Amino acid sequence: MSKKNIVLKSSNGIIFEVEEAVALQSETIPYMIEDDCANDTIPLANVTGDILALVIEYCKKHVVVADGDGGGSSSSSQEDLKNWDAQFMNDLDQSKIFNLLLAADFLNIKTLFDLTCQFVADTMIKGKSVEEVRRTLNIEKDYTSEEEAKARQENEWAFK
Amino acid sequence: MTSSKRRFLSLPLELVEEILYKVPIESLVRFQTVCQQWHALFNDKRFIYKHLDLSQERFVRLDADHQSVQIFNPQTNDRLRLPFSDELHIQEFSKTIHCNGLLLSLCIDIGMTKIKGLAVRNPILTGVTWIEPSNSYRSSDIYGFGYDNVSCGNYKILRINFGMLPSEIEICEFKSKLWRSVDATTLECNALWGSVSMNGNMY
Repeated sequence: MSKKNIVLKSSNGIIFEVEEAVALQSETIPYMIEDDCANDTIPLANVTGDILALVIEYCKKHVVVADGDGGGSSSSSQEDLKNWDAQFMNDLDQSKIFNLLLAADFLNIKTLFDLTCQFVADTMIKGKSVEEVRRTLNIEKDYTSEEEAKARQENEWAFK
Repeated sequence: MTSSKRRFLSLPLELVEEILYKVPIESLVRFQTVCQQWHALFNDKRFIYKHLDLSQERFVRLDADHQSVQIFNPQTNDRLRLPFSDELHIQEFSKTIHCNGLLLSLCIDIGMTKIKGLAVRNPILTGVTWIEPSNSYRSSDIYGFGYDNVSCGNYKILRINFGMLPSEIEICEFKSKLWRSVDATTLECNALWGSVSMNGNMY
């Protein structure tokens, strides 16, 4: 059982060689391998090198743990992984986080996508003011002040 | 990076939506006014039910004085205390049943002889909807609160009275707000003064 490597190429031309098991955490890559039987490199036109490096770091960590506990996932390794995930996200700035989210979506890596969404929800939205959320998510206010006041009163959606 | 003037990248709405599924409902309520897209999204049934589906299970505890509720998340230990809107503070509640975060309360006058109404409240949105009680209300009625599996948007209230022979059973659908009696004479049940609602079914 030889371990097969897969070569990924970022949008800015940086090459990464990873084990197949690492790359296959992405549900998009298998299709790309199929489509491109020529096998050599898989071009990822939507992901820059620095973001791809982060994605690979995440996938490597998660593939190691999946191997390591031989099926019966022990609670301590689960706990370690959770802590690692938290640290991993905490070290990133906002622009990296948003790009990571886009990459996880494009590459279809569900656990990374969920992790990133949850992190954004917890740190940038929950408990923030309307203005802060607009600024963070780069949303323009498209309400007049009167409309805003009116919308505020319409808090009845769960009853419709 | 779409626009050069702005500091941050804009995320496409599909991704923002995925993020918003992970924001607790009490925060979302405030964000109706972020922009019109969000407002439309929060009023979209598809979004509402998916959010409900994905949200973490939490406990709702009604305070003894019926003036406020506490919402407790066992996973994060977050606790949230929400007072009810003033409108209902003066009311007399005899019983409250819970379903999907909604509370059904029976308002009964002091002598326990006449029911004033059934209030369905959403403690997070502080909204109240009143349901007219059935004409054949009795003080020994048992109430249930649930929904059918076809559409969880149509909540139903069940009224049963086993003291009568034959038993009286009526259902009131939230949409029509009308009571209709149900023929279920085969149903026999020695119900205690209590019921719970789970996934829309009453036990």
